[in-house]
Parts: sequence; structure tokens; C-alpha cells
Amino acid sequence: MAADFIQNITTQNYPFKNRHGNKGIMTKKSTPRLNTGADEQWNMIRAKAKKDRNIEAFPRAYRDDATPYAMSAFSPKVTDVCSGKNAKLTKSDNELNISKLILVGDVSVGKTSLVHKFCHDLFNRDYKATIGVDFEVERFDILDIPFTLQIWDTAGQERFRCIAASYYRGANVIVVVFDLSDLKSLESCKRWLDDAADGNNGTPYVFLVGTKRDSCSTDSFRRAETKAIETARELKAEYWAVSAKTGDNVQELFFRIASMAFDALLLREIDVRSNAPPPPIAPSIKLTRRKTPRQLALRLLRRTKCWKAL
Amino acid sequence: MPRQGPPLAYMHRDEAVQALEKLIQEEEQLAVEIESLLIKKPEIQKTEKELQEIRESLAVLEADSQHMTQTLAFSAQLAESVSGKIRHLDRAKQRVEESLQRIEDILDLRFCTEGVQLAMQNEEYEVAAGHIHRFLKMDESVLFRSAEDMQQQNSLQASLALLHDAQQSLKTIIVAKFDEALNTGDLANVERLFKIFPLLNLHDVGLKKFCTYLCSNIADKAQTMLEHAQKTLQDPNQKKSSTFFVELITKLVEAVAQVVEMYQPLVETYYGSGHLLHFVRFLQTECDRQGLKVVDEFVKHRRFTERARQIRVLVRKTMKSASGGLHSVIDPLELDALLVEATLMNTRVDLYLRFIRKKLMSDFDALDSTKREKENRLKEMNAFLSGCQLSRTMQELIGDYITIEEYYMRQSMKKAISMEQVEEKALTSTMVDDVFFVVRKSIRRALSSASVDGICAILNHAVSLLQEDFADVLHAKLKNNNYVAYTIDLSQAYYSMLGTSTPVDMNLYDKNRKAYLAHLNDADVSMEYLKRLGETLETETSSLLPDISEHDKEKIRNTLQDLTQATHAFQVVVDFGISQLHTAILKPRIKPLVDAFNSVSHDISDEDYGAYEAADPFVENFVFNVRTLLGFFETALRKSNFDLLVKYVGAEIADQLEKAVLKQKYSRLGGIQLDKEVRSLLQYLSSITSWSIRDKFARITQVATILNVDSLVEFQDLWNPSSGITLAWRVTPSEARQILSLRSDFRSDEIKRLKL
Ligand SMILES: Nc1nc2c(ncn2[C@@H]2O[C@H](COP(=O)(O)OP(=O)(O)OP(=O)(O)O)[C@@H](O)[C@H]2O)c(=O)[nH]1
Ligand SMILES: [Mg+2]
Repeated sequence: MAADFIQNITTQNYPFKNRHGNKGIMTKKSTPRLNTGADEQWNMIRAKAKKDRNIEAFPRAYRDDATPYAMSAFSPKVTDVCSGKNAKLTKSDNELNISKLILVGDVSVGKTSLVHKFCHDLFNRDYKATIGVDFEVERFDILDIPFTLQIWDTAGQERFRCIAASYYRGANVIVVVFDLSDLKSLESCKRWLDDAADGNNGTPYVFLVGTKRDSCSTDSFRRAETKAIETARELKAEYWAVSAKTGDNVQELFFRIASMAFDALLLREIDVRSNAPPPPIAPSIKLTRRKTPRQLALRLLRRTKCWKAL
Repeated sequence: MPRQGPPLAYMHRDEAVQALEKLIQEEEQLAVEIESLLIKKPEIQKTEKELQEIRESLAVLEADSQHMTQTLAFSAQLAESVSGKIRHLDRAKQRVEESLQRIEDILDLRFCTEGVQLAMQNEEYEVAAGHIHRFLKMDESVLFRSAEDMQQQNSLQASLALLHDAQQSLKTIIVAKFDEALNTGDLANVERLFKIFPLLNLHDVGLKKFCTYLCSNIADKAQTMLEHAQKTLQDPNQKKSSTFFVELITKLVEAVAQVVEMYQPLVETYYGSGHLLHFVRFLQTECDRQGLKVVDEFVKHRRFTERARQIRVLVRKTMKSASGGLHSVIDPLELDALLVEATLMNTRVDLYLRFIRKKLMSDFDALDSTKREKENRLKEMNAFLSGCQLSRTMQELIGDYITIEEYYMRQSMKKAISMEQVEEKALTSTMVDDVFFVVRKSIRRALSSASVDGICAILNHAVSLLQEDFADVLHAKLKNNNYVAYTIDLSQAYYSMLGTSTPVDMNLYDKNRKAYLAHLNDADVSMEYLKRLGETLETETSSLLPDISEHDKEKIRNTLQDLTQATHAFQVVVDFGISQLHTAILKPRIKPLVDAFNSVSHDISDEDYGAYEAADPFVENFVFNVRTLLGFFETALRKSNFDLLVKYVGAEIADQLEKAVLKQKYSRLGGIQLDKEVRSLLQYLSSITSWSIRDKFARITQVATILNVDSLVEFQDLWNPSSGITLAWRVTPSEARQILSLRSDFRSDEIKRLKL
């Protein structure tokens, strides 16, 4: 039965024709066609970063008083490696320079719009809910080293929560988004981040981003910001206020994220390289005092029987 | 010409002669000039004549062109008048056509009026509708104008009134008849009447009524199915398949798909393209309603959502308590069938939705619309397909599926780890195969659901579990294994055999060693498994999900990449384990072996050298001992692990040997002897590993080379070759001097004098 059904779907024959013999109806022939999504024209991984994706100087935080990350420059080790002073990065290392970013937050707070503005410089007034997860790749050149940011834009709707949750553990950066003009969405941020804390074993960078700054009056913005900064402290996250509509702070935010992720990634790589082989455990041979180690070893040598019991 | 020089009166004779000569010269020059001018005269005359001729022909040309202008002007005039006439003709033709159309309309109108009456009397509704359809295509205002021209307004009005009446009554009749046919299930009539609606411009009414009928059919069918299903479920004697609900939902969507398949041509032919979405939307409302019932039944009967919720609570609790021991309240085995069922349900719904999409797309293709219109249609269709209740319900189901599948994977992995065994002849433990079996199974299952986001989510979980719950476990197991510490104890025990130390439990020792090496191999084989898994999944994805969008493909590809990246975690484990094995067990054994070198003098005579040749004093024995030392590991470790170990050992030997070498003195022959020794050592080590050990031996090889030079001159050439191509020296100049000073036949002041 199921097989029949599949057959019907894949070959477009009309059982109707056979049953009724009504040829007049059959004038139209439909050509079989591949199933293609609407958002097919996808702008995938570029070979080289776009011109305006070069980062030379470490971008600053939105507000110095609203971030737990005090960094204001690339780590010395990283700049050394990038300028080729010490061990140079091999090519295969560069190919692996990928960090994962995940966006979470309530329905329609503006996650997709934020990503779209940054990646395609487009803003759409119409709301189209994200189904499951959306995915973008952005290429950078940071200190002349290629770097790729994978952006996973999750859906805010409740039924997609489990999908979003699966991304937490592998994420290097978590961006919790809320709507500056709707403070209810700020309250949910803690819940979103709680989900993440369950998952992530490493220590991802956390950002708290308020969107739709353009649609706030000066007064309400000031009030929202005070509250948001409080929440950011509580969540140990770096706070930003942006607008996808005007593009305010959008590039600044992503540049900062990319630079921090890049720095951390390279530090980790440098660490791994300098630590290999890992620190050996001290061979704590305590031999009897009666004989010198050399004598003992020589004796040991001669007694090959002992080797079998290694 | 102004005269130059002094005035005549004061001229000397010489000067006068000079002036005269000058004048004569000038005269001659002038004569030449005149001559040349005169030569040109006939030529000029010739040109003059030619010009004259040209002038004459120009006059002729002028006359001709004047004539031509006149002709052209005339032609232009003519053309103008012709085209004017043609324009006129065009207009006339258009009017004639319009008139003909009007006449035709009027004739048709009469024909329609009469035809409708007759057809209505004969109950030939198709014919009547055909007439009305023709009439509806006419422009009434034009009709009126024609009637005015012909002074026939009254008869026209009568006709129109009649036709409008007929249209109204036909509508009432058709609706009534259609309803009747629907109620009695008179299919032949239903189809017959369904075609009439669009003729009366009543597309929406027809579709709506028809769909309502089809929906109630679907509802009836579904009701029967569900009731039967419930009976089966409640009957304890009935055998129930583990994919009971898959079959149920398949039957439902198949029924709907069949209806679409059956009536799509009818809709397309009689209602025209672009109406299918409307039609499908109607049907989908019923499909949604019935689908929800099936899924609800599944969720209730299999306690699907409830279990997902339980698991979430459970996981959260163990996270909070951090005790780690997530004691299974739910047996993962129990979940297996459930997960299969849930994924297959999604597959079937996905298949159905893809079928609908295909139908809609071909309907859109038949319309010749602009790109923009098409895009909008596609957008509308996608919003409809992903937003319908059935899709949303399935998305919820997939959400719970992810939770349960992750739990299943985690628990099964824990179980596999806890039940680990190292079989007698196996290099690896059972757990690595079991763990990967579980992971592969879960990912495959996710893949079969056809939900791209579900697949990515399970892949994400698999990556984290393999890293955190498996690689980290292996790491910890290696760290906590007593084998390494124990071996040292053992040698101690051996030495103090006669002493008072406690007896060694050889069984436990053996077990620990076996486990340690097996876990090293586990980590190594995991990398291989991961790579292979990534590759097979990539091909399986394209074969199982052939027509997903490029965007979705990219999503899966990137997630799969993470899976392959997880090998790093295992590489860390391998590096840690091998280096620990080396440091604790092999390294302490190498030093005493190298010490044997010290008792072999290299400051030797011809005679000694001959004796060494006859009976090797060091290297043979050394190689034998190293072979004995490594032999066990060669059989107990996987090849790549053993290679890594040899790399460590090789580096250690090179290091130790260098120290020993630098402590001795060398004669010329001693240098040869040493070079031979180093070479055979390197050869042996290279023969047991597939990696190059040469790099580790670079320094000691160079030391031997330096000690093996014939003379300082030869050395100088070696260091600064005349060819200009220098070796990549790992030895600094001062080290080189120090090494040379070990040669008993080189004088230290000469060594000092070397320019390096
Ligand atoms: N005025 C203004 N409107 C915005 C801004 N950002 C987003 N919006 C609007 O907010 C609505 C929702 O935006 P999305 O980006 O789709 O929201 P989302 O967070 O991705 O929603 P989900 O995918 O359902 O989780 C859209 O109608 C946008 O046009 C902004 O900066 N200013
Ligand atoms: Mg979105």
C-alpha cells in the first residue's frame, strides 16, 4: 500500500484516466519536476572574504560597563602567530578556522532580520517565521588570516526548542536576542540561556542583544537599556543594542563577535600545539639504595625473562 | 637685400673681389632656380588642362543631380499618399472586424437566447451553461451600442433579460442539482455538474462545494479507520505491529493524495491552472483534522510526549545534582521501536507533502506568469505547506523525537561502556564497536525521518556524546589505569624479590595492561570509524534525501563536518596514552640499554676495528633488546598507535645515544664504526614503522657524520661545500667544534682555526 503510494508520487500518472477513460480531461501534461524550495538561491561559502570583512583592529564592546569581556585587543600570542613571528600557521590550520554562533530568543524578536542585515544587507518588514534552523556562513579575514563564522539562526517557536537545544553544546558564541520595544522578551532570555547552560560544557561567549532600537522612543529606550544591562550582568553576557532596520551597530556587533571567537580559537590551537606531547607523568622509580640504577638496569637487561612481564 | 660689410667707398680691392664673387654666386643660384621653375612649366600646364576637363564633367554632374532630386521629391510625394491610403485601409479593416464581431455577437446572442431556452427546457445544462459562458464573454455596453445603431434596443433588452434570467435559474438549478448529486453520492453527476460552475464564472462556489463533499468523504474514511484502529488497540488478543501508527497515518495521507491525484486533472482542465492551491487548501483542512487525531492517538497510546517530558525532567535533575549517575527510569530498549515508529510517521507525512508540492509546482508551471508572480506563488505555497496543522504537529513530534533519541543514544552508550569487555585476541574492547553501533543506528534513524533539522540535531548530539561521553571516558580510563604505575612497582618487586615487599597480583596487572592498550586502540579506531561514518552518511544523505534544497544540503554537510572534527578529541586521548606509556614504561628501559654503548670504546686501532667487524660489540645486541622491548607492543597495539610509540622511542634513543656519544673519544676508525652503528639503528627503526623516523635521528646522524670525516679539510668542505649547497645543519658551529674535538687525531688548535 505504502509502496503504491510512493509509486504514485514519483511517477506522475493519473489513475483517474484509466478509471474513467475520459480523455478530454487529460489534455494537460505536467512535466515532472524536482522539488525545489523557495529559498534556493543560496549564497554559500565564498572563496574569499568580501572586501568589507577585513578586521585589523580589535572592535570595542558596545558599552564598557556592560560586558564581562574586558578584551580590547588581540592576544599577543595570536598577533605573533598571525604576523608569522613564531610558529607559522600551516595551510590546513587555516582551513579549520571555523567558529559556530547560535542565535536564540523569543518569536519574532528579530533574529533572522539581524543575520540577514549583516549577511545580505537586506531588511524585510514582513515577518516570516523561521522553521527549525536557518544557516548562514560568513567569511572574514582577520589579521590577514581567513576565518569562517557559521551562523545558526534558530526558531523562537516553542516546538523548535529541542532543535535549538542541540546546537548549544557545539557553540562558540551564544547570542540571546530580545526586542527592545517588548520587555517581555527580555524576561525570557534567562530561560533561553538556562537551556544553553545545561548543554554547553565549554565556555562560549554570551551576548545579550536588544533589537529594533529604531522603533523605541528615546525615553523607552533608556528604560529598556537600564533593565537590559541589569539582565546582562545577571547572565554574565555582553550587552548590545542594535537595529536591523537602520543597520545601527549590526556590523560592529558581528565584528566584535568574530574577533573574540577568532582570538579564542587561535589561542586554543596554539595551546594544543605547544602542549603536544602532553606533560608526561614523572616516572617515579624509587630503586633500592644498595645498587646504582645503572647496575640494576644492566642486571635487568640480562634477565630477559622479565621483559615478557612488561 | 641689405648690403653687408663696409660701404663701397671704403672697400679694399680684396673686399671688392670678395663681394663680386659673392654676387656671381648669387646670380648662379638664381639662374638655377629659374631653370628649375621653367622645367616645371609643362607639368603645370598639364594640370591646368586636367582641371579644365574636370570642370566640364562637374557641370554635367550638376545637371544630373538636379534631375535626380526632382525624381526623389516626386517619389516621396507618391509614397506619402500611398501610405496614407494604407493607414486608411487599416482603420477600415479594423472597423470591419469590429463590426463583424458585433454582428457575430448579436447573432450569437440570438443563438444563445434561443439555445438557452431550448437547452433549459431539455435539461441540457452543459449546453445551457455553454451559451451562458459565451454570453458572459460579450461586452454588454458594446452590444447596446450596436443595438442603438440598428435601432433594436428593445429586442436586445429582451434578450439580455432572458439571458440574465437563464443565468440565475441555471445557477440555482446547478447548485441544487450538485447538492443533490453530492448527497446521493451520484459521482457521475457530481463530476458532470462540477464542470458547469466555471462556465458560469462560479469557480469558487464549485470548488468549495466539491471540496466540502470530498472532505466529508475523507472524514468518513478516516473515521472508520480510526475506529477500527482503536478497536484493534484495545483488543488484547489482536497482534499489533510495532509500526501500527505508521500504517495508520500512511492510509490517511494516501487517501488524501488519491483524491488530489484523481481530481487534479478535472480541476485543471475545467477551472484552469492556478486553482489547484485553492483546491488543495480545502482538502488539507480535513487532512489536518484527521492527521491530528492519528498523531494524538499515537502520542497517547505510546505515551510519546509524556516520555519526552519525563526524560527532560530526569536530565535536568541529574544535571542539577551533578551526581552523573542518570539511573535509567526508562529502559532505552523500550524506546527503540517507538523511535522507529515516530521517524517513519514523519517520513510518510513528508512524502505526502512532497507529493502535494510537486502537484502544485506543475500547476504553477502551466501558468505563464512573470517571475515575480511565480515567486509570490511559491512563497504562498511554502508558507502553506510548512504552516499547515499537519506539518506543525509533525514538527512537534520531531521535537520530542530528538529528546528521546538523544536520551536513547546517551543511555545505550553508557550501557555499552559499562558492559565493556576485552576479548582474548581482540585489539580493541567491545565498547568501541558497541558505542559506534548505537551512534550509527541513531543517526540512520534520524536520516530516515527525512526531517533535515531533526537530522542535524541528532548529528549535533552524536558529536557531543562522542566527545564528552566517550572520548572523555577513554581519557579518564587511561588516566586511572594502574598499569603504568604498577609496572614500576613490579620492577621494584623484582629487584627486592628477596626482600619483604608484598607479592604482586599478576592477574590484576595483566588485566590492567590489556585494558590500557585496548583503550588506546579504541581511541585510535574511533577516529577511523568517525571518518568512515562521515563518508557513508554523506552518500546516504544524497541517496535518501535526493530532492532537498541546496540550502538544506549545505546544512547537513556542515553538521557532518563537525562529526569528522570530533576525531580531534580522540587524537588527544591517543597522544596522552602513548606518551604516558612511553614515559612510564619504555623510557626508563632505554637508558640502561644505551649505557651499553659506554663500555664499547671507539678510540680504536685497525685490529680493534677488525674484531668489531667479526663480533659486533653494541648495535646488534641493542637492536635485539629494543626489539624485545617493543615486540609485545607491536602485537598489542594497532599499527598507527605502534607507529606513534616508535616515534617516541626513536626520539628517546636518539637523545640518549647522543649524550653517550659525546662522552667518548674517537679514532678515525671509531668514527666509521659509530656512523655504521647509527645507520643500522636508524634502518632498524625505520623498518618497523610506516612513519619517517629520520627526522628524529637528524641530529645524531649529523653528529656521526662529523665524527666520520677523514680530515678537517673534508669537514670544512662538508660544512661550507664549494658547491654552495649546504646541509640543513641541526648542529651549531660551536657544537661542531666540540664534536670534532672528540676525535683523538684532530688537533684542538686546528679545530679552533676552522672558519665556520
Ligand atoms: N522596526 C524594526 N523591525 C524589525 C527589526 N528587526 C526585525 N524587525 C521586524 O520584526 C519581525 C520579526 O523579525 P524576524 O527577524 O523574522 O524574527 P525572528 O526572531 O527571526 O523570529 P522567529 O524566526 O519566529 O524566531 C519582522 O517583521 C521584522 O521586519 C528592527 O530592527 N527594527
Ligand atoms: Mg527567524
